[in-house]
Amino acid sequence: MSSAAAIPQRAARRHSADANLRVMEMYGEVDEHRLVDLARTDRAAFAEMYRRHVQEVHAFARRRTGSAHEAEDVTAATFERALRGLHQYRHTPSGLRAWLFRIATNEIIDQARRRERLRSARGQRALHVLHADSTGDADADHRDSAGAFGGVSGDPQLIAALDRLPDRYNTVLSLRFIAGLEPADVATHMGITAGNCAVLTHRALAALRKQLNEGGNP
Amino acid sequence: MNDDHDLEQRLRHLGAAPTAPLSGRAVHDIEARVLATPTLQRPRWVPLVAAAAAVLLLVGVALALRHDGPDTMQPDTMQPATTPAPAPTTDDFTSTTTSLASTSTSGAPSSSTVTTTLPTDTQQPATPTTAGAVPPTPPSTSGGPTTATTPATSPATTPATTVPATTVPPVQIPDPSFALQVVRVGDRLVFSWPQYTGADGVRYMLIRVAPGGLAGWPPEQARIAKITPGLGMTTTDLLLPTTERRLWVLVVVGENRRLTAVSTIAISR
Repeated sequence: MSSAAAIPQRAARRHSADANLRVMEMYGEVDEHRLVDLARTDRAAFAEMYRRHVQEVHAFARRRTGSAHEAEDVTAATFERALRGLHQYRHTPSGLRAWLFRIATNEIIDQARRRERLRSARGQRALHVLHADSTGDADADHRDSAGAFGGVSGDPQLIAALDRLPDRYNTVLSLRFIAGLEPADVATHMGITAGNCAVLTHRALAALRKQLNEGGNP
Repeated sequence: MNDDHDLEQRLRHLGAAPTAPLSGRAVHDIEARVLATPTLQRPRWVPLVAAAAAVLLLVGVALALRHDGPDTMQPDTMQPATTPAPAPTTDDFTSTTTSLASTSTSGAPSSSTVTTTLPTDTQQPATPTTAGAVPPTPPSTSGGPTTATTPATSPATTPATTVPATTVPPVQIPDPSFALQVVRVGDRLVFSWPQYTGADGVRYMLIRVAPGGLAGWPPEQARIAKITPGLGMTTTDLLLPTTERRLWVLVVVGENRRLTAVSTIAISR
């Protein structure tokens, strides 16, 4: 830009209107509260919101699903849901992050349910045939949790057991221990009291242990 | 209890497992997928509320014009500094207000006066204190008295110097100094421009403008299409399936959100 060199000098002569310009917030500088308000109607603001949170949502989905492909799907679906449901979002102390984790958890549960439906008796037979050919490979595309695709050391038995839990148990354990949310934040986003959350967590752990034992794992 | 603890540890360990971050390409792909989601779903009552708000806004503007009329006409009624204006009477206020109210609804001349004199009017409360001859403003009269007292204190020849300027004047929009180009690729508009090399720029801002170009600074929030994090990029894209004619400019924003440079207008379809 040859003429650009002259621009700074001209700009320096121009009167500063800082007072007026303070009215305008740059998306890159706005706090989360305001960004969410802007994102309700403005795609550019939503895109900024996406960029701020996409990596942590993806990391959570990656750990919780154990699958790189599924984590990407969950991440995309989470933000699609967030875009559609942003008008329902209410500001809470736990912030947008916890809300996104809750959406991601719901999406993971939905995907697990859809997967289960697809596993009809016929599908199961097909899987057995595949297993006979290459032990474990049939699940490899779904659960690449051995760490070869992204560093998750993984715990496939634990993930599978979580998927079999009732939704509320699954949600409370995912948010509390995998997403690492505080009990109060989990309670807020599940619409329950902190006391109920503690009870629910205890029962969920018991149910998870039972699932693991039934699955032949400690 | 111990089992619970072990299970918690196992879950926490899963939650702390290292993960590879999404690649830039994956981030971009997911962003494109997400932003291609159909329009925001709002409750059905939102359009009704918006329409009602628009009507209220129009009514409010109309009322404001009626009340602000005398103030905005103030420079036209100024007297020379050597000839103090007679103290206004209530009748004067009434007649002024009436005539201005009718003027303000008559069209362009009144609206142009509004825009040119508004900053001066904001200083009116300070003016009477500089001249003891000014009668106190009747609190029950809206707008008119302030206007009527101004001529006695403000010389018509130098109205700006008698009023301390605390309101920031409108920013002057610089002439276009670089070219912005836009091409459509499918549902996307791809913008490109030469890199800004000045030291006073911080980021680019892509703005949708009216046919007259950038009308003011800062722009309306709704017109800002994109803001870049720095000056490193010379291209960006925008998902815009509609092929309506749109006009765009790219501006360089400096420190303190100062308008530094403006591009030519690029037209997309």
